[in-house]
Amino acid sequence: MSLATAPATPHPDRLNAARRATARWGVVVLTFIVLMIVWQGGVTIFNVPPFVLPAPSAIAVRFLEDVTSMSVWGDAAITLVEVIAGFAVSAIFGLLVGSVVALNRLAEKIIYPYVLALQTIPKVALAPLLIIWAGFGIQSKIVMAALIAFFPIIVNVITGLKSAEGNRILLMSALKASPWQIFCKVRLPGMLPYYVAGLEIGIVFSMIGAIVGEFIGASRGLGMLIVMRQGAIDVTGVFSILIFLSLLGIALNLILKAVAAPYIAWSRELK
Amino acid sequence: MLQNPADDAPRGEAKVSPTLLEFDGVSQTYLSRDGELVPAVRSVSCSVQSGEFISVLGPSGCGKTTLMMMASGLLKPTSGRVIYKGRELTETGSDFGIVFQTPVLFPWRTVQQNIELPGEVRGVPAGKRSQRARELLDLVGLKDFGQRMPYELSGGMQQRASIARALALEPSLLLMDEPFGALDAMTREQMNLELQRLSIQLKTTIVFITHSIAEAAFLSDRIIVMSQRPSRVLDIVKIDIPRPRDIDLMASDEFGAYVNDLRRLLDRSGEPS
Ligand SMILES: Nc1ncnc2c1ncn2[C@@H]1O[C@H](COP(=O)(O)OP(=O)(O)OP(=O)(O)O)[C@@H](O)[C@H]1O
Ligand SMILES: [Mg+2]
Repeated sequence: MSLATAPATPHPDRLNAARRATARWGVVVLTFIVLMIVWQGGVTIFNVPPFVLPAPSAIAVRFLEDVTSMSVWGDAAITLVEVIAGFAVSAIFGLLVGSVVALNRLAEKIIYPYVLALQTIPKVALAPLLIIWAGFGIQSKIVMAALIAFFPIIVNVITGLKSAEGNRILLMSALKASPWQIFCKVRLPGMLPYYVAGLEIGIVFSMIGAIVGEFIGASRGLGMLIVMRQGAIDVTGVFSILIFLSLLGIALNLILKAVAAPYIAWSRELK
Repeated sequence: MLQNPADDAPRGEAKVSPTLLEFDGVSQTYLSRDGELVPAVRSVSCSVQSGEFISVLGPSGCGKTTLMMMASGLLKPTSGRVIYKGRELTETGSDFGIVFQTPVLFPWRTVQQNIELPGEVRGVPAGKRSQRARELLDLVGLKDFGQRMPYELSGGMQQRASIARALALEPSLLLMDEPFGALDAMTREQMNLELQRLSIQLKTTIVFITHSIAEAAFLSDRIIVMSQRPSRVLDIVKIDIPRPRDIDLMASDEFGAYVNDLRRLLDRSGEPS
């Protein structure tokens, strides 16, 4: 029996797909350009003062200045450390606690109410307390980032572990597999796509956590810079930091996706 | 109506092959979610000889899967005994392979890794495991597909892979629960031929569950015909046609007679299936 192997030359369908992808990106870029022109034009025509809404050209100039000046990079590095450390903590605890909750009825009954309670508390309201407990430095921001990122991660871990297909577990039972083997060979790999989805939300959330933490009180970081520039009514400067933040978020998301891709490639092929 | 046909069927033959598996008055009653007792299998007695290809044929919902689960030891009978190799089965057996209606492959593993799974679970050394997996891939006609992912295979090929996986630990007993039920008619016919070849080549005892009369008649040495739920054994039909059997056999009068007998037997079980 022979099966068609991958075609050597691109199939017409694939060429069409490539063309469609180019067209889609074209639309995205075009929309952006139009938006910028409208913004720039509006600000110029209506003479909007820069402390209300700066023109995109001014923001771009300011952003380039910030990029070339070393001081902003230092603050970006601090925020990055807070985000990654907080994210790592919740990624690890989300996996551990989520596994225990998903696999043990009693643990679920005991632990899950606290997880839910934690989620219903507005964590922004916890920030002042965290500063009292964990100090003015980066520790309190790491805790904040971890707290906010925890919920989407643990929920996905639990859902993923519980969704393990019954027949796969039955098959493992027929092989007399131990619960640990069933966990490692069925539940864990099947859960990974859920975990990655949780992590993708988690990393964005931990950025929010770190910035919020810095708003409440910090000596360094991008969030602190926003507060400072806002105090100086430097709105253009605030926008420049916002660009830093969104680029940072996009970069982290892309890195995460790239690292995770080989582990969950199989799941994208199923329906 | 035959009350206990199981007892006399094997007794008539020359006892060349020993009994591998025996059901001794086995019943299974489920407790449904609303607390009702659902009798699924009622006092089934029959035996399976070593090397035999035996089918369980019966209408949908009559308890065929239940019977198979009890044969594996994954499910304890409510009453009666399942005897495997002379000993009562009190826990999950360790000498059987199982094939489900769907392939149940692990999509994150390559085909080869799927076939190595049983060896992995049982601690077979890696070298031996992959050697065995390659032999099995060859045996089921998937020689060049070991490194593919399951989703790259057609339904029939996936089921071949799952048969290979079931054979990984060289079990004495192969349990197959409607393994070709999800396949199209043409693929199904081809898989039947393949399975016949495998069973002749390996001499593994096979318990094959199906609700296709023709499939059962084509493949089996004997067919256990079950009634509607709560199911009993209606009769055990011996198919006296030498093997290997050709696909043309299906058009023959001899085969047609068997099929008619079986159909009449199933119709006689009362309610339509
Ligand atoms: N876990 C369970 N709890 C309650 N009732 C069950 C359970 N499993 C099966 N049953 C019932 O037992 C009966 C037999 O089920 P079983 O799956 O063994 O039938 P089957 O012959 O394999 O059917 P099919 O040909 O459709 O696969 C059915 O009526 C079913 O509703
Ligand atoms: Mg069934």
